[in-house]
Amino acid sequence: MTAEVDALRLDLKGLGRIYVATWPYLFAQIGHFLALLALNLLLLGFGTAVGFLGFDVLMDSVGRAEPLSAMQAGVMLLPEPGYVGVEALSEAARLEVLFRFLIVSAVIIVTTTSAFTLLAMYKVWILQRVNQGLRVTMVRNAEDLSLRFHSRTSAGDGIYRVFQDSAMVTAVVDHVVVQPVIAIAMMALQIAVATLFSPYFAFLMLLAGVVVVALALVVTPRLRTWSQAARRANAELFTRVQETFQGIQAIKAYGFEGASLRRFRDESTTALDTAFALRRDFATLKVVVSYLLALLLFATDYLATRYVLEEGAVFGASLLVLFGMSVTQWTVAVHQARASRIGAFALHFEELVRVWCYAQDMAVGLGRAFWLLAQQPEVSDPAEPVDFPAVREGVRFSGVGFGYASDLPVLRSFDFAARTGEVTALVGESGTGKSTAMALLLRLFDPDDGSVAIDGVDLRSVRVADLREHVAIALQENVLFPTSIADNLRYATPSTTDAEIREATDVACATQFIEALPDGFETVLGVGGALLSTGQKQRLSIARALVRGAPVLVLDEPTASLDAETERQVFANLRTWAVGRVVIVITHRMSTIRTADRIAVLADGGVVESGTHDELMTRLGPYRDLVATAEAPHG
Amino acid sequence: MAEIYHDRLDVRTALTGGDVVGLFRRALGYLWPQRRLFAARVGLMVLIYGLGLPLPWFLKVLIDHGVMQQAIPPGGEGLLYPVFMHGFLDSATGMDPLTVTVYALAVLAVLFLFVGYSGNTLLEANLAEGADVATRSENKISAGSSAAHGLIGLLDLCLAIRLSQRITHHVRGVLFSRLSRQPLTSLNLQRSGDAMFRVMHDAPSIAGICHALTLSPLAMVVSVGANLWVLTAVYGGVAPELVWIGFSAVGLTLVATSPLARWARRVSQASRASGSATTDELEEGFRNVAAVQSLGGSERQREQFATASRESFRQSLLLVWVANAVEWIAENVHLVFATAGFWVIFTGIVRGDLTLGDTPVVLRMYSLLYETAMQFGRIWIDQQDNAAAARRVFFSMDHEVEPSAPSRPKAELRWSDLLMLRFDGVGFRYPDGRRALDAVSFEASTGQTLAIVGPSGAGKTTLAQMTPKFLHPTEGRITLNGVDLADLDTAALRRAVAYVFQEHQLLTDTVAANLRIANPEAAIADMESACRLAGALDFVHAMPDGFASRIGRGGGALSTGQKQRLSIARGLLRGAPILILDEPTAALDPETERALLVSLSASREDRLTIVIAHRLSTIERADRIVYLDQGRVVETGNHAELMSNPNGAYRRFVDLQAYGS
Repeated sequence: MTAEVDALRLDLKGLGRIYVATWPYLFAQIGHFLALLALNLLLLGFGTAVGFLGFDVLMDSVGRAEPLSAMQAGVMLLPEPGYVGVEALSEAARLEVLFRFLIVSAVIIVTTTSAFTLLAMYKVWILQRVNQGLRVTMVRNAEDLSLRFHSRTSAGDGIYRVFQDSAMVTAVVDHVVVQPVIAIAMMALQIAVATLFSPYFAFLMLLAGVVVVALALVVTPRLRTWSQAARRANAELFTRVQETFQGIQAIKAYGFEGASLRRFRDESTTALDTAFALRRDFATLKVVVSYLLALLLFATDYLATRYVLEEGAVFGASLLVLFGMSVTQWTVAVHQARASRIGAFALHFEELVRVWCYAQDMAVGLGRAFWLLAQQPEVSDPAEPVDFPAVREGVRFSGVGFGYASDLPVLRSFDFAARTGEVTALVGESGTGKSTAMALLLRLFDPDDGSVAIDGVDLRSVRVADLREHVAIALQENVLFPTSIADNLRYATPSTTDAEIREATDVACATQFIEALPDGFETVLGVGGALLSTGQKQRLSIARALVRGAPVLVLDEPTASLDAETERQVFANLRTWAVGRVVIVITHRMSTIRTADRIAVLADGGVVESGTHDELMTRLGPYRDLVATAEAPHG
Repeated sequence: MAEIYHDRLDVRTALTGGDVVGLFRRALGYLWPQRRLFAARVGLMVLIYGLGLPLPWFLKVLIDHGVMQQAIPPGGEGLLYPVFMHGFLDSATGMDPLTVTVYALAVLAVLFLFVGYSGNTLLEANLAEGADVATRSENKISAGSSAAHGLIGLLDLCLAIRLSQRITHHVRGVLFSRLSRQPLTSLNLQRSGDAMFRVMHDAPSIAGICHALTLSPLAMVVSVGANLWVLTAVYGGVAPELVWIGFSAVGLTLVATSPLARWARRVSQASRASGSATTDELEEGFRNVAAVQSLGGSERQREQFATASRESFRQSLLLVWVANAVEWIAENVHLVFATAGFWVIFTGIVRGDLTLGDTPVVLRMYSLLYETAMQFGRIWIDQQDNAAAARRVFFSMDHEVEPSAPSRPKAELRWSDLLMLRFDGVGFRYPDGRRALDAVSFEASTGQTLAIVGPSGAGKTTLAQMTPKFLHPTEGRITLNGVDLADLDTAALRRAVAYVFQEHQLLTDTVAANLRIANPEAAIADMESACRLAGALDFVHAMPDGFASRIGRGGGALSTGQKQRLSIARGLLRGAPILILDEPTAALDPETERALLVSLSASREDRLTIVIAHRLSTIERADRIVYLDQGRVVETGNHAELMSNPNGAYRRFVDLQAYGS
């Protein structure tokens, strides 16, 4: 599964997949994107014109006493006599031009920097609108992917990757869609302007462009490989640290601290080495690209100097006027204006290469992110859901077959019924599929064959949320959140009142110990409820399931760590509570099993026997053997 | 993050100025082991700034002596150039403008090959960063930048990254080791997520501090000093205004940057807190995906995430606003200096004192001075976050760890001897004052099975955990063959105890690796026999790769009962003279349990077994039963003895168990 997830590459096909996957989210904002692009180009054109005006006025008029054009004089509010059409400017006129120009340019620069600032904000705002939709969809899909997926990756890996990747999504659209489009448009504009100086410049720029692109493509697979390795190493390190602290008891008990530290150091070194290699290659590419672009600048420096020395005509002078440059012949101003355009081209190009390298690293995360986006939840709502039944009859599994992997069936033609108003016990050796059957009841998975129904209504025809609202479960492993006890109990139904909570803890025999804690119901639990004993956690877990008052209650080995007296009390309370409800109990304990209204014995993924304790005891079947084992005198 | 992972041990989190200085001094201590790398970087830095100084002057050559065709007099006499350009000017004397251009471009190409156009943009190789701690600390761990590009810049960057990485590796290794040696009472109080956070995300800040307090200010001082020196030397005579502008740009920027940076930092902290709230949301959702789905919490989880995500976007928009505003202000302040510079240069040109070629030189020096001063003004502010993280790191490093050797070394125990374990008036209180045990006394020896029985919350696990010194009695004493446990080497004691936990603790690794935690030398045959005893052999053999099969996510593909059996097999594989089973059989079916107990009793002569159990079939075969209630021993004796008291607590316990309600 992970192999196919990681397969996304940022070649043309991969890019295509990204565009296709994000298109609906981008298209919703298409008007804004086009406006952004247009405004960017407009502003760039304006900035270029202001720059050219500056070179022309400062270098040629102030520096070399050349007269102004009528337009230039107009912009600086100078009268034409003495400034336009004269042989050379006087010293006083040159200083006046300088003074006026600096004021005008200060005003223009403040305006353009403000406009660029606003444009940057505009872009962020658009991207956030895209990403809000994208992220929420992604996370929803990730959660809906049922345990079939989650059980195979280790917890640390999953967490690291999902939050890494989801953070990346924010940058994805910007880096592989928006920035390249804007950068390429800007570069095209620079090449166009450079052509006006000399077509040779445009040729050299395109040549440099081809070389840089070829280089980037050659290096890309290396970057991708390192990036993948770096992420894997980091995820492993993350898992190691997490497990070490979660399993610290075992590590201490077996004196494993030393070995565990060695493993941590080794994995830390591996993670650092791959991170280093990735960055080294990344930086090398950057350095080579910027050197190539510097050589491009030097080549045009040489050509431009020759043009000035030869007093050559400027190729597109008539069009350059549009940018505020009134020259016909190569001068120092044209020379410098040319340098500024080549420089801007190089800057955009370096930025594009940087973004490309980022994208290689992100592509690793993207594979996962876009795979998630494309996922259809394994368990989905029906097109036309029916109302949840009233649970008057009960739950029925008919001929259910199911396996986590296709070649390893866990349940085979599993038939089982639990009636309303009864406590049904599900017994059998561990590993026979008891917990799996209950996962099907919650639709954590759907059966491969057969059906699970309540009052004859197939579970697949009701909404998943509806179903889970009506089925409460106390899990075998007590998952408690690191919040207060009250918050844990309220987890699924935040509106529960204190009185309802107390009612549930009374049934679960938990009120007493909770109140003995320093902060009572407000006591904050550690990770996994570190402050409580296992039996106490089990009782909280039972109370949490009860709080919801659901018509179907499943207790998966609920009382394994309770003492007999507490257990008896809990079950006595439960029987009163169970009137009008379906209660299914998975347990090994004889005293619990014996009191159930109905007992189903599981073996090899199917029910081999069912009935009441007395009925089953009269048969010489597997149940009787089970009881005999449990009660045999030892010694 | 601090407010999310706040915990009960680390409560005093506010920092005073004095604390910060102390933290910084301690952080710098981690630089010493890397002194050679550090020295190499200092050397490269001098080289980079040295080679970088002439760069702008070649632009002047290109304009004045190329485009403007000004002839170069012998020795550059009468021209405004710093002393280090005289060699070039000498060699270029008498050349025609095109030849000067080619010559200058060739020299530039060589200089660029080594240092690039160093200055304005730093060479760095950071990866894309999101609003989450993971990507941020990823970049922090491998942080590095160089003032140069080109070959030297590349080398400098590689050294910089290695320097950060080595410091972080060192710090997190020490931290990891200290944290895993803390006593269980601290680790239980602390959230394991917090420990992880410190190792993975806080540790890199030490490297950040080391860099920010040494190399960065040094580089800034060198760069500002060199540029101001050149400015004064060349223009001091002709256009002293240029020098004044340079000095005031540095001074004003230094003063003005700090409040701006402080403002930006406040906003960015709010944004980060909200970003990590989103990732926490995610993390919680994923860690507990089973619970979330089974409790019908998916919808709620999704809403929470959408809200947190919206809030983090709103915050980050604000952050972008502030960052842009700060940049806008900076650009416009820069504009003031540049405009003043332009005025002075061009009036100089009109007068004939300066040339057009001075323009790029002066402007470049100004922007270097200005930007360096801005960075300098921010160093202290930027280190505030690092200081907070460093405090968290050092706090955990300094926290008490389990003593590895006894404070009063005494005679060693011979583990092959018959062992006699004795609890003598043992009491225990948790650090928060709750009493778990009170005046517990009993004894047990090799060959015996001791059962600890009692209602949940009675203190059974606390009692059992005292034997391998996970917990230390707060009153009374525990002895082994008469030697107080406090006098025994902890590691040696733990080697002699195999402890099977109530909640299995398996790592993401192969079955064999998990078993070998208990006994690294165990052969496959040993593992097979331990698994057979624990009823785990059948399912291990049924797994695709047998003992080499990987189990994920705390034992993902296995059922709870199977994980528990592996855990028991691991305890048995230890082959230790003392075996403690903390409710080992709760998740076992009666058949498997029976098989396990029968085989355990077959080899009982060699060991002392302590078992915590509820199930009668387990308890009644014990040689001695300790019945515990609310931290006190209520009754002790064997099954028959205790059953003979019709009103005893144990008798009531058995009756309930056998006959149900």
